Formats: sequence, C-alpha cells, structure tokens
Amino acid sequence: MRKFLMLFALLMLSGVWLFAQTHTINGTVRDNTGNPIPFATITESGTKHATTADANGAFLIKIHPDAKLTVTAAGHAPQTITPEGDNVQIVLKTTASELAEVVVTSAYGIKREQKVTPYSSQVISDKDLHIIPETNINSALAGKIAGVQFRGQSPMKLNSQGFLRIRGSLGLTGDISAVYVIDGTPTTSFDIDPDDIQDITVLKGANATALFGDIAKGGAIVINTKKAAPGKTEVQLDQSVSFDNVSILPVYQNKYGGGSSSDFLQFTWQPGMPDAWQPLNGKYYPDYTDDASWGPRMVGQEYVPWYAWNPNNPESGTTAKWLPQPNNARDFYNTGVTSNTNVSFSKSGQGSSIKIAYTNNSIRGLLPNSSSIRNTVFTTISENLGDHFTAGINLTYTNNVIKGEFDDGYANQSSGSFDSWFHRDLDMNKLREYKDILTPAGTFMSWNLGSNPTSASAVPSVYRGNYWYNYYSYFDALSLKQTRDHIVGNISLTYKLNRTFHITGTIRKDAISNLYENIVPSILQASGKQTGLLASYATGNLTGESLTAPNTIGFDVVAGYTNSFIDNKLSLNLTAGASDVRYKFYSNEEATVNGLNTPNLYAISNSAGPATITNNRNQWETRAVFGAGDIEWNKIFDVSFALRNDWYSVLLPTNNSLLSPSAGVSFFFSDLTKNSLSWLSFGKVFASWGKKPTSGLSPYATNFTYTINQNKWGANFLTTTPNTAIDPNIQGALITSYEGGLDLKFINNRYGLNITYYNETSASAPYSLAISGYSGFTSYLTNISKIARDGIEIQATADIMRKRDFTWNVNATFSKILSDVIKQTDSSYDNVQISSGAYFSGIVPPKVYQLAPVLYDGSGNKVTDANGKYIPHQYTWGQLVGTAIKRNSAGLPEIDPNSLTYATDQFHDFGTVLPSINGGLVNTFTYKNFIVNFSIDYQVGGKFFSLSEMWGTYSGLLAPTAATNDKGMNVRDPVSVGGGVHVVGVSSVDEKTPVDAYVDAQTYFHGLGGGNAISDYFVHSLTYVKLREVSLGYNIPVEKFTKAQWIHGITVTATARNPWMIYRETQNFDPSEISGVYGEDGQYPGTRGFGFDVRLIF
Amino acid sequence: MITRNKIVLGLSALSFLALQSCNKIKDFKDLNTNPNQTTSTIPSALLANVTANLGGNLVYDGGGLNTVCGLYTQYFAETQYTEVSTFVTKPSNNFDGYYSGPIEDLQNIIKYNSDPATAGDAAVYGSNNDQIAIARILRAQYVKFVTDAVGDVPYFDALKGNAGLVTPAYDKQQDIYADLVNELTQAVAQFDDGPTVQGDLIYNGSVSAWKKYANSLRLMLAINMVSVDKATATTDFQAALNDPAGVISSVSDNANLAYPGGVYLNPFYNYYNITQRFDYALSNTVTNILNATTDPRVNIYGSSGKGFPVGLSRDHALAYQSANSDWDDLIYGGNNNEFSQSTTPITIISAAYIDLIRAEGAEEGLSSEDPVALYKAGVQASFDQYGLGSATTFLGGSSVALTGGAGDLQKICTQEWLAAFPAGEEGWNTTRRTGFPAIVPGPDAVAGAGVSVPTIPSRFPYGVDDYTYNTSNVAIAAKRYAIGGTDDSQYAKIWWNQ
Repeated sequence: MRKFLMLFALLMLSGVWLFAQTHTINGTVRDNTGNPIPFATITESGTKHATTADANGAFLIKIHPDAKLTVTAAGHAPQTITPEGDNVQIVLKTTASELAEVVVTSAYGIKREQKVTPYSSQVISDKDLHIIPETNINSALAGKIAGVQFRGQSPMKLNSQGFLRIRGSLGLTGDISAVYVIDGTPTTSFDIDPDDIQDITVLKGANATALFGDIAKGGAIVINTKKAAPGKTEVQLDQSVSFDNVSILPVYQNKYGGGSSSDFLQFTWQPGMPDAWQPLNGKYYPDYTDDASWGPRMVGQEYVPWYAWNPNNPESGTTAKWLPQPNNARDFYNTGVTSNTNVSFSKSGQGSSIKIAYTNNSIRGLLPNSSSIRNTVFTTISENLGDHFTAGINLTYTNNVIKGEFDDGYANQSSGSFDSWFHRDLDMNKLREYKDILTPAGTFMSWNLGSNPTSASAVPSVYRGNYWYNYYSYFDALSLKQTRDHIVGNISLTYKLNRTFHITGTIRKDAISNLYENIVPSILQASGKQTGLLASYATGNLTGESLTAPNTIGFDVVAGYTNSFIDNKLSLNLTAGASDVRYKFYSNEEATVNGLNTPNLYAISNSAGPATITNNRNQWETRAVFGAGDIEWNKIFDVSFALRNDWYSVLLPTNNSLLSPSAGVSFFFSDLTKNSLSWLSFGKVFASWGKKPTSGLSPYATNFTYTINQNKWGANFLTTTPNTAIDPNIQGALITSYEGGLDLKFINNRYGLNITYYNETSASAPYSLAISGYSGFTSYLTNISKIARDGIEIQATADIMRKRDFTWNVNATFSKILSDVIKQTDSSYDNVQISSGAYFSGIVPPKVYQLAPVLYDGSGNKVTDANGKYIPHQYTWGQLVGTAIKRNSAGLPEIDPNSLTYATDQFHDFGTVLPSINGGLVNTFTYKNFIVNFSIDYQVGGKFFSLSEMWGTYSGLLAPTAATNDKGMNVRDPVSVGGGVHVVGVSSVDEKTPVDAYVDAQTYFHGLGGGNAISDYFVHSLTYVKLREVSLGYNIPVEKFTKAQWIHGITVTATARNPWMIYRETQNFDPSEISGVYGEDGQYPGTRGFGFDVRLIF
Repeated sequence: MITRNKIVLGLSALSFLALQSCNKIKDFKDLNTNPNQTTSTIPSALLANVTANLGGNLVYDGGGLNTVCGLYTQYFAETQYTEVSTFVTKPSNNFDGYYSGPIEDLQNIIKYNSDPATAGDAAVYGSNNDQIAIARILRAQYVKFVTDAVGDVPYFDALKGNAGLVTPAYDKQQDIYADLVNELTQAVAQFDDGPTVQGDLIYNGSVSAWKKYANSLRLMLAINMVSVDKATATTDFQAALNDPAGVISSVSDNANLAYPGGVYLNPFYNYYNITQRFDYALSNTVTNILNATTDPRVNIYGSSGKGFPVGLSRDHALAYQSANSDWDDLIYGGNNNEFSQSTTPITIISAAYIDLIRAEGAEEGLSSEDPVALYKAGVQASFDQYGLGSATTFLGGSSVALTGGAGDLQKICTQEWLAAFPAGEEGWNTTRRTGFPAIVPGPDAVAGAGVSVPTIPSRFPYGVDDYTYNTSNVAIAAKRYAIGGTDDSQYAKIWWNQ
C-alpha cells in the first residue's frame, strides 16, 4: 500500500508544472433551487470543444479568451453565458416537461447517470427519506425500495436498527447485511443521521456493486451527504418532536384472574405473622405464587390484593374487588418522546465548500428508565488547491449514550411477562404506586409472591418475588448503560490533470469505541426468590461494534479517465485503482460472577466468585485491485464492464484470491422511436452479468484452536477440543448474478416504469454446517450448498398532477421473490439449520432450516428411498419446521383416544419465513404551500412462530383460553356442565375412527404448549399492509409577512408514524416488527407516534 | 507530448510496482493466526476438563438428562412444573452433546497419544499408554451413560467428523455393550505404570485406582445384561471380579470429585444457590423408604424427612406447597445437608454401590460370592461415605436384614438404589432392571400415546438433534422402539431391559 501512496504523490508532483498556458474557467452548474446539476454539458460556443460537469455540477474548461459558454442539461433549459472571471456560477431553469437526471453513486463515490446504467438501482431523495423525522435510516427506507424487505424492530429497542433484507436471502448463515457507504466510506447502519443525507442509492446486482468486492455481496446502501449549495451561505434549523404510544397488543382474556385453580385460598392469621395481616384473617386470596391466569372468574368479589401484604403500604391489610383490568399491559408503557434538533451551516464559493451540521437526538423510551441521547457533528469540506488539486474531508462524529434494558426475549420483565406469565387481574397503577415502598425485609414487594401467606415461616418468602418483580421497581433499579463514540469519514486528495484524467487518494476510517456498564443492584437479588438474578457488575470496552461491524481503516487510490470522441458520439469512462482495508475488532470485558461479596458495591474486585475476564482480538485484511469502464455510443448504446481481484487474509494462504468480473449493456431504443412513438419519452432495455466475491469466513475460522479456560481447577488448567471440524480445502466463493429489465418513461416523463428480473446463484460457499454431535463435532466448516434465487422488481412513478398550484406524485414499488432455493451439493448432510428460537427445559419451538429435513410427498408423507432412508430435499430458504398436530390423509387431526391429546408430527414444515412479495407506495401532494406525504408498505407471505402465544395460552392469558365454545359455555367451565374445548378428529390408533369430545381448557392448552410445543396455533403469516408515515406540511410564505431578508423559509409539518395498520393476518403482533428471523420469544407491542417538525432556513 | 510521456511513465511505474507487489499482495504473514487461542493439543488440560464435568454430567445436572432419570426413578419430585413426573411431556433430551463434548475430548487424548507423530509430545503429560487407558475407560463410561438412556446410538461410526463422516449409523446396544466390555478389558491391560498421568482430577493418575474403576464399570455393564444374556453377563461379571486389580471395594476407592469452589461448584450447590431455582425436591418415595427403616441417611439426602409428593399436577403441587409450609425437604435444604456446600465432593462410583451390585449378582447367580456379606459391606460403605458410623443396628432391622428368602433381592436392590442416590440414571437402571424398589406413577400422572394406563417411561426417545442432523439414520433406529403405531416411544424397552 505504501508504494501506491508514494507513487500517487509522485504523480501529483510531476503534474504541477505541466500546464498553465490557456484561459481556464472553472465553475458550477446548479438549478434554481441551488442544488447542483450533475453531468451538464458545457460547450465553448460555436465549437465542438466541450466538457461535462461532474456529479456535483463542477466543471473545468479551457477556452479562448472572450469565448462564450453554452450549458445544457437534461430537464433544464439551455443557457449561454459570457464568463466573467475564472470562476462562474451558472443557474439553469428547470423545465417541467423533463425529469431532472437521476444520478447513481457506487463504489469510491463514482457517479453515473441512472439512465445509462445496465443494472437496477434506486435513488431515494432527501424528500422521500424524510416524510417524517426518522432517527434510524433503515426505517426511513421501509417500503421505498423495490426488492427490499424491512425487518423492523420495535421502537422501544433504542439500540436496534432493524434490518434491510435485499432480494430475499443469499446467506447460508442467515441474512447478509447490505453495506452502508457514506461518502465512499463503508460503515454500518449505526449512527447514520438521516438529517445529513442528501440522497441514497440502493444497489443490488453484481454489476452494480462490482467495485465494492466482498462487503457488498448483500447489496449496498450508498449515501451522499448534504453539501453546501454553490454560491450560497445558509443556516438551517430544524426541530421535531414526536410522541409514541403502544398501539398493538395481544388480545387478552378479561374474564379470569391470576392463580392456578379456579378457587381462592382462605387466609388464616397465625402467631408470628405481621400484626398488619390480622385484618385479613378469613379473607380470600388467589394463588400468588403461580404466574398464570387460571384463577377465579373476575366478578367483583372481595379478595386480598398483593400490595395488602406489605405492612409498609398505606393500603396494607385492606381488600379490593376482583375485577378485570383490560388495559393493564398497555398502561405499563410510557409515552415515548423523541426530540430531534438539527442545525446546519453551509457556505460555498470560489472553489471552496464547507458544511457543518450538528444534531441532537434525544429519546425518552417507552420502557421505564430507558433513553437514548445522540449527538452528531457532521462536517464536509472541499477546497480547491490551485487549478489541479482538490482536498476534501468528510467526517461524522457521533456520541450516543443509551440507557435501559431492551430485552424482548423470553421471560423479559415487561412483554415477556404480560404475554406469557401474568395475572390478568393486576392493576398497573398499583404496581406503579407502590414501586418504591419496601417491605419490612427491605425488599421490593412483587405481585408474584415467593410464597403464599400460609405460615409464619413463609413470611420472608412473601416479601420476595417468585419469578417476577414489580416491573417498575425492576426497571428503576436496573442500570444498563452503553456509550458509543463513532467516527466515520475520509480525507482525500484529488489531482485533476485535465478535464479527462484525475486521480484520487483517500484514507477512510470507520471507528467505534463502545463502553458499557451494567449493574444489577443487590436489592433485586434480595427481592427475588426464583428470578435467577444475582447482583452483578459487568463492563466492557469494545473497539468496533462487533465482528460483523468492525473498525476499519482503508486506503485507496482511484484514477479516472473520461473523454469523448467523434463529435461527442463516443464517450469513454475508465476507472482503475487499488485498495487495502484493515479490519479490527477488540474487546476487553469483565463481569462479576456468582454475586457480590459486599452488597451495593459495583466493582469487579467485589465479585463473589472469580470474575470473568475476556480479552478478544481479531484482525483481518482485504486487498484489492480493480478496473472498470463504460463506453457509450451516441446516447443509444452503453457497455460497461469491471474486473476486481481480492486477496483475503481470512482464507487459506494457498488459496486466498478471488477474481470477480462483470459486464453489462444498455440500449436506449427511445432514441430510435422518438418520432414514431412520441408518447414514449424514454426507453431503455438493459442486461448485466457479474460475479460477487465472498470470502465467507470470519477471522481465524481456518484455525483449529483450543481456548484455555480462564479458571484453573486447583493446579490444573482446562481446555476442550474445538467443536468445529475444518475442511482442509475450505475456500471462498463467487455469487453469479444476472439481471435485466426495462426502463420506460411516458408522456413527457410523467409516468415511469422500471421492471427488473434478477437471478443469482451462489457457488458452494463456505459454511459452518451444524452436524450431529455424534461425529465428535457440532459443526463442520466446509463448502456446501448452492443457493439460487430469482425474482422481479417493479418501480413505477407517476406525476398525476403537474399544475402550478397542485402536484401529485406517486412512487410505487413491488417485488416478488420467485424462488430462493438451496441445492444440496453433498448428500451426506441431512439438512442445514439456520437459527432456532428459545430453547430451554426441553421445549423445542420451531426452528428455521435452510433445508427441510426430509422430502414430503403430496399427501404429507415422508418419502423414503429403497433402503428405507428418508430423502433429504432441496428446499426454499428459511423453512420453519417444528412440531405440529399429526393429520391423517384426509387432513383430520389425529387424537389419542385415551388421553385426548393430539398425536404429533415432530418435523412439520410450516413454510418459509421469507415473504414472497414486498412493496410500498409513496404519495406526495402539494397544493400551494401545503405538502402532504404518506407512505404505505406491505408484504405478503412469510411465516413466524410466536413463543409468547404458546406460553400465553398455556398460562390462560390470551383470548382463546376463555372463549365461548359451540355449546355457548365458556371453555373453562367444567366439561360436565358443557364447558371445555371441542376436540374433533380421528383416533391416532387407526387413523380413521372419529373422535369428538370436549377437553378441560387448562388440560387442552397445557397439552399444546409446554414441553409438547405443538405449534399449529402459534405460527402465523407476516402478511400486512400498513400506513407507515404521514406528514402534512405547510411552507409559510415568509415573503408575504415580512420584508426581512434574513429568513428564507419556514416549514411546519405535522407527522404520524404507524397511524393505521390497514391489514394484518396475525392478531396479536405487528408483523412488520417481529424480533427474530424465526419469530418472537417475548415481542414488544406495536407502537404509534404523532409529532411535528419546524424547519427554518436563514 | 511531454505530458503524455509523463503519464505513460507514471502508469508504467505503477504497473511495475503493482507487479512487484503481486506476490506480496497475497501474503498476509501471520495476520490470520488467532492470538486468543492455541493450536497445541494439551492432553492434561483435556483430561482435567473431562473429569471436572463428571459430577455435573453423571450425578446431578440440574434439570438435564440425568435429572429426568432421577424423576423417573423418583429420587426427586417436581415442585412447580410437574409435567415430566406426570408424563404429560414427552422427554426431548439430546444425547449427541456427550459425544461432541467429553467423548471427543477423550478421543482426542487417545488420538494424540496414539499417533506416532504426536505421541512424543503427548508423553510430556504422562505415559502414553496410561493416558490412552484412562481415556478409554471414561469414554466407555460416557457411552454406557448414553446408551442406557436411549438404547441404540451411533458408536462404531461415531467421532469421525474430522474425516467428514457426519451422519453415523445407529448401532445395536448389544453390540455396543460387547465392545464396551472389551474396551474396558483392554484398557486395564494397557496400563504400563509409566510416568504419572496429569490432569486427572479423580484419582490423580493412580493406575491401580483406574483399574478398579474399569473393573467396576465392567460389573455394572454385566449386571445390566442379567435378564437378556445371562451367559455373557456371568462371564463378564466373573472376569471383572477375577481381575487381579480388583474392583472398588472400600470408601477409599470411591471415585470422588472434590470441588475447589470458586467457579467450580458442587452441582447441587450451584443449582440451588446460583441458579436459584427450586424446581426439584427430595421425593416422598425416598423419604417413605428411609423413614420406614429409620435410615439415618434421611438427614443426609434431605433435612426433615418430609419428601415432596411425586406426580402431582401443577395446581395440586402448588396447593401442597401452600398447605405444607413447613415442607422444606429440598435437596438444597439445611446446612447439615450433604449436598449443600459449594465444595462438597460428588461420588461418581462408590464402593457401596459396587458392593451391592456384587450382592445382586451373587443373588442372581452371576457369581459365587456371599450376598449377605456384600450386602452388609455395601450398606456399611454407604454409611461410611456419609460419616454415619456403624450400620449394624440399621442392618438388624426386620425390613432390612436379609433372610435368605425370596424378599432378599428386593432388599438388596432397594439398598443399591439408595446407595446410588442422587445419580439418577444408576437409580433408574436398578428400578428398570429389577423392578425394585417398586415405583408407581404419581396420582396425577397421565397415560401417554401407546399405553392405556399411566406408565413410567422406560427409555428416552431420540433427541431433536438426532432427527435434525442424522435424519435418515435415526429413522431406522426409531422403528426398533415402536409401541402401537408410534415409533421411538418412551415406553419401549431398550435391549437389556427386555
């Protein structure tokens, strides 16, 4: 690398004295809003001498003295000027009949006009990105890009970004993230401030991402930050506030309260019990220790509430009425408040451009004691150093402090209780009211008593939570804090030899330093009986966010050559370069073990057991050389190609190189038909092919290494044999990608349609295959399984109304995955598992497989070969497989006639987790000074498994557990009087004798859930249609009200997030925010937000 | 033209340097060498790891496979979620983890000591032969543990993942048993009394002790075969007894794992004090037997003699808890409790148990030893193990003393079962093999698929891992355990339990 840099410097020095003789004009072309117009053509009037502006509108041209310049650009009226001085600012008027040219940005900041690219790409403008203020770039993109599924996460999880899944999955290990590239520098989705974004280009196919190499195998989200508008000095101030509330909760039953049986227990006061309990003698209480709601019917009868047992409460010794609390789970959550302040300053002129922005994003979370404060300083500077050199710097620094616990897994202390283990009779206001009042034992009182008040010896346990705390006490006491400092940016020096050749050297850095400190206070340990929480302190310093989001430092040198020949008919663009990127993820982590010696001292030295100390170091590197180019003929034909070779440190040294070529062609047929088909404003047909490299390995994966256990046993140290066997011939892989399509615009570009078909095949990629432990190993790192996927993507735009006072613009996307298939290349593996859900106490919920374990025939029977072996099957990616009710050939459930329990099929295939159709719709209306925007997104298909529902029915919390049966009785009523769940099917013994019976509700639902994990009722579709964003804005016509020159614009906007779930197939959750690939374990509820935004421009 | 030449020159220089560096560009030196871990195999550290986990795996695993065995044989009762003891839940344990964990570590020790290329390095940690022999004994121990739970398992094709064999076939238990006996016999003969093996947390490398351990395991294998292949059982039983190295026969021979504390805690202590779950209690089946004979071990196994009733439904179990607030007979109970300290040793195989196995064998005619003397020695050894002094009075009790009559086998097996406590699978082996002590399902137990009355499972079905990663092979084995129309039934019987 050093050699490249030296050479680069040499080249630059040698060039300085080469030119200076003629009259050089530099300048910038922009539109009447101040935005640069890229790729405008600047011609010396009356000659064929011309140049093309770059993507930022800047150009350099040598002309004769006194010559005029003619400037033309698509979508704009041409203009001729007489340059005064060496630097000119040219403003072109936008013409209504043509659309402004869309510019695609790819690797190393290389820009191209979208109309010539031979691949599908989509550019999201600032406007569409900011329909409502979003703090997370991924959610801002939801539904706006064809071929992209947004796997959202609950806004309660302040540390979560969600995930953009592009064109289904090509990952054997699960989803592969797209790379986020900000001003040419690769980073992750963390800390990208949507306020600083000018536009986003989303690239998907191999030709589009050719120069990125390995990092873009999952696609690329390429971000251009906002730059100073030429010749302008501007200050902008933007303030938004939004309020979020819980909107979608599971449908609970509100008839029966907490406990394990339908009768109350009677309290008898005994000597040794607190005197404060005496008034309760003879009163009735539910079984507090059980955390299910199979208790008595709630009809207002007198009972002893949990808080009555704490003698320190004002309501100690009192009774209450046993009544439904339909909104208790909803009442728990705060109103989340998000405030976002953005101030920016920009100035540009005379070869110098600077922009500085500061954003403060403060969130008070919906969960108690949760917050996120993010401060971002963003600066971009570009400075011409003489005629040939330009120095640039882009730098974003972010400090983000996130507090709170965001566990949405099984048994978390909010949704993990409300939906799985809870008492439906609980009044949340009482929990809030008494959260700080300690018991005589100095503990927090819980609704879920560690023991019922049956004896004096039980008293200490009464004062401790059995499985659950008072949620408010818990969240208030717990202290989890992470502080992330993130710098991403680059410094570059460009040498522009002349208008045809330039070379740029860039140093890029993406560095995260993450410090976390987590405290479980001693009082929580003291207040719990079986909560499993020990007082603890844990801290860690991470250099990098994770192995998949490491710190990087990269060096690249890219040379570009642009020229046109033969009366500008043939234009040529060539790029060549080299890069070296070094990755690093270090962690130093410490945690106390088995509690603390002395309470309330949160220090590693206070650990009761030997503290855990982990020190992990990971470094790796990728080197590459590349070249690319495109040739355009007469605006009719364009050919582009690229070649890149990568060398990876993570691969075996003997085989660590991957060569990835790509090529594409575009044909602009509308040029030939513009007379015959005048309604066709633009028509392009394009096709491309390419290979994407993937090393597929994490650092040191090829090492067969032993970890030394930190703790010695006496004088002995311990180690264990690695669980991954390694194929000695492990190698990287290439993903072959084809795409092709049509890009059409009609009637003066008012309507646009882009249709793309893609097809990708992955060679046998390296994969750590989970294998039977009987082999001595749990995984085998080898090259296995080809993946093939294809699909179509459609993007349609329409300017339905283009009046002066009224415009209506629609942008719609649609994508359908036609297939996403795994072909096994080695029949010795029975199947490949991707991920599994919560797994504990022998409970086995469905897992996601890449391959279903066995092939089924049309009637659901497993197909066997001649030797009686089941045949493994080639299958769609991401099958959800788990235990289901066994059905006979007629589809009737098989029921054991003795126990009336369902016979089961342990490996039922519930279908893929991948939605087949995704899309969205963005609508923009402007009427005079009003702007209305809204976005809708939708998906069809895809399955998820709900562990919450499984336990929620097991525990008698959800509506079906207190439904009315077909005899008009509640299912909880005794079977003898007409209650019970109606069970209909056939005998599992002969698969035909009808079984028709009523089963006690608790027995029935316990039989479905628990260890049996019969998942038929807990697997649902991810299908939904959602109105995600709405904004109503008003541009205050400041010029009418004030003569003040200093203010240029005021916009006031009212916004709504998730105002309307138009349709969803599943009843209990927001299907767009399911937490895991396979489903959820303790999903947070869906939310809805309203807010406003004020923007001032000075 | 000067310009163009300079460019050409520059580009040529670039190409030249690029070519120069082409060989270097693919060379990352030692960048991909893991700085956090070692590539060296250290057999003593592997053996230390395997022996450190024996107590947790084979005696008490806090809710795992061995605990479920303990629930089936009614050592323990479930106090809250009772679906295992009421047979509502079909067991769903995995077994392959024993292979990829301890068994592979042992295999690795054997391989490292056997391969001529590495044997020299391995010898630093003790005699090659002695290391191999100890590893073979423990490997046999673990395979016995797995096959006794489930029946047919991968054996002859197992542990070959690094040769690419990832879906091993399921071998017949009978064949596995024969090979285990053979392995143990060979292991005993393999010891060469060379330099002491390092990393052995049980016997500190004592060859004579490991020989006794191996011979004791041979007895345990042989006694299991008594009803299906008495001839082989007799041969193997006598061969083990006649081995000059002897069997575990005094408390000082016991295979004890002494926990050092810190992060290595007695598994009972760990479960109740660190995990802080109270799902399991001492059962009333155990306390009823102990109380009926005024057995002093009642204060060792529990603290009050009031065991928790077995096989109640959840609401009945919770009701029992409410109505019996003085109930405190959890294993984790009072401070006088044998299993309550963080450093309390766990006994993997005891002289008491082996004596009583020998008594059972003698009673069954596998040997000509004196069952009465062995019975007395076994009970005394159990008392000695817990520091309870002389068992003479206890042994004189009318329901304890052997009479030479038909009830003797029941008494022997009951004491054997009590001596094996709390190792769930060993206890379950006794009740499955002999029917003694008689264990009946709890009051709220249910009949599962394929049985008409509530029945204690007699084996574990294959685990999800078997079906997931070894689908084709497990399907063949599952058919061998069909009951009614259900393959792989937990109510089917394994080979030696026919």
